[in-house]
Amino acid sequence: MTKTTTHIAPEEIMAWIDGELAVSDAQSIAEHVFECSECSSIMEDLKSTSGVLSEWRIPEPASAMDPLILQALDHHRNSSSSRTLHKVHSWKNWAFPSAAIAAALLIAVVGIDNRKAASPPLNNARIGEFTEEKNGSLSPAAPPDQGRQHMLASTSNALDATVASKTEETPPPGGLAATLVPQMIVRNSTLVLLVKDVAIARASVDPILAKYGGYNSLLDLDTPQDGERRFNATLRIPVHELQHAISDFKALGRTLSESQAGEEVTQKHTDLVARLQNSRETEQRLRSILQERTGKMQDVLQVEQQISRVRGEIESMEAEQRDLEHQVAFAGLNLQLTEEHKEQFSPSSPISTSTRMHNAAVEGMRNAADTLLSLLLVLEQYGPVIVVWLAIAGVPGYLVWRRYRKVRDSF
Amino acid sequence: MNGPQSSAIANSTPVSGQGDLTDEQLMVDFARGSAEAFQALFSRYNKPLFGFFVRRIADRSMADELTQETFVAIIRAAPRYEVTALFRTWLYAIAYKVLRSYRRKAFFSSEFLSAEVPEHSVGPTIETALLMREALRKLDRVEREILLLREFEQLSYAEIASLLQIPLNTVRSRLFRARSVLRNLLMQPPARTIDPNLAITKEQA
Repeated sequence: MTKTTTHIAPEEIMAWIDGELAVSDAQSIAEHVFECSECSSIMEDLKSTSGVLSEWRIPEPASAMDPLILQALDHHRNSSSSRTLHKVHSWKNWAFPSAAIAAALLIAVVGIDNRKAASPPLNNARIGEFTEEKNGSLSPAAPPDQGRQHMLASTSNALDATVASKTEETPPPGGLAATLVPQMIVRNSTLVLLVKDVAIARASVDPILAKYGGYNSLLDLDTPQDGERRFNATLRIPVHELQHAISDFKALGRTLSESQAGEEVTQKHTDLVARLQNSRETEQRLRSILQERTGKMQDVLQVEQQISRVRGEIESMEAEQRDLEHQVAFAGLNLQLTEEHKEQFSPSSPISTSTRMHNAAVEGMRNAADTLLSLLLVLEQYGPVIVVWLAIAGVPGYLVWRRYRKVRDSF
Repeated sequence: MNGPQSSAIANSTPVSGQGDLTDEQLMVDFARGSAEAFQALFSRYNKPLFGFFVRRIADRSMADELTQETFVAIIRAAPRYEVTALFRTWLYAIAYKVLRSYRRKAFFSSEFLSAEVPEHSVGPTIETALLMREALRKLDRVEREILLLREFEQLSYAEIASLLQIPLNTVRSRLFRARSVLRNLLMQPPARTIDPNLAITKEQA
């Protein structure tokens, strides 16, 4: 075996001491170092440095675990006490987000559906519009129903009797007696149904209305060419028959949504009746003054003017009272029928393919030009401001960023 | 292995039934929910980790805090642990991240919030420790880190290169340079007089 005549690089000796060399290299270096005084000296120097460092003693650390560690440990133990639990946990990881996404999609779909229903129809065939008159009767377009009129009259009479008896007792408004007044509630409901055929379902609406003494105040049929047909109706139904009528309507299809709301108008009605009573008394007193006293012509004219004004107020309030009582007696039902849509293969567009491609290309070019123009306009409009701000904040910002990067990299 | 780590392991309280297992086996057991495995790892590495921090930031209480923080990080990372490298390397990689995070926060606090940095609030120490710190402070930042990782944490060159994200040859050349510079510094007389009060104070066990 030939002895190594050249010295070993100090770095190699260091790597040999640190055990970083392959066995064969380490063996040859060891043989050389033990024979070469210079390399041996380097080895001793390196070892002495490490020896000095090893004298650096450190204090004892806290032997007990910190409460934070114990807490983290508990959490870890709970979350991974068994593989099954871990699997359940991982199952939960995707199950909850999936459920949330599914719920969001469902809400979005229902929302879009409702928006479609509420949006003005493309091909709107308004088949009838019925408006109520103030006194409760209907225009000739809506066949008046005798049962409904009877119901309206009887309800109005009953309410009048209640109000009359109440006013005879002259309870102070807001007093204890006011709580004994029967509640007056205006009810409004919405029913959304999915039906097989809108035409058949629509035909069934009128018989149901006739059965319960109701009437329709607005009908709207939407029949787009390539979409589901929709039928919207605003119906008025005697309040005590509302639930029965809703049950009958539900039989027409599958219920998608149903909602009911009630607005209490007892106080409003009580106030109205009280104001009406006062106005009537005022009118009566004015008439007495006119009949019993004499005076100048100007005074007589003034009294007549006052009577006229009070009479107008009384009629207005009476109309309002009737309207309110009617709303209480007849609940509103917003009925929406949506047809189950079956997609059909539509024949090819009357416009030829080449024309459509040409139109699309022209539209595309126009869009591209518009985008470029918009960009140029924005640059023209805001470019100078951007340049000014870059000059103001750019240089300091760059210096801060450079310093931050330098500091960040230094750790 | 004759380093601080091995002595710490030898001095650590043995955990019944866990003494023969390797660090990696213990970590796998802990990831599966064994609290005893974590106890064994804590016993083995509490002191080495504390040493890692206290040699670099001097503040003993902060070193304790960062040690605990590292263990908490290990617990949180346990479900994702895979035996692709030595546990020791993985552990010090986490500790190094914790240290860097602390240093950044301390720097920005002192720079922008005028807060006091506890870097120099040296606790009870001895002359050797002061000399070491003085000498190490004069080294280049990367060289100092390489030297400490090699001498005290006993990481291999490859592990140091991976941790600091520098080439392997750079580790070797800079480690040699660091040792040479440190040797010259330690052999020289101290540049300034050491506070005798600090010098005679014994380090608390």
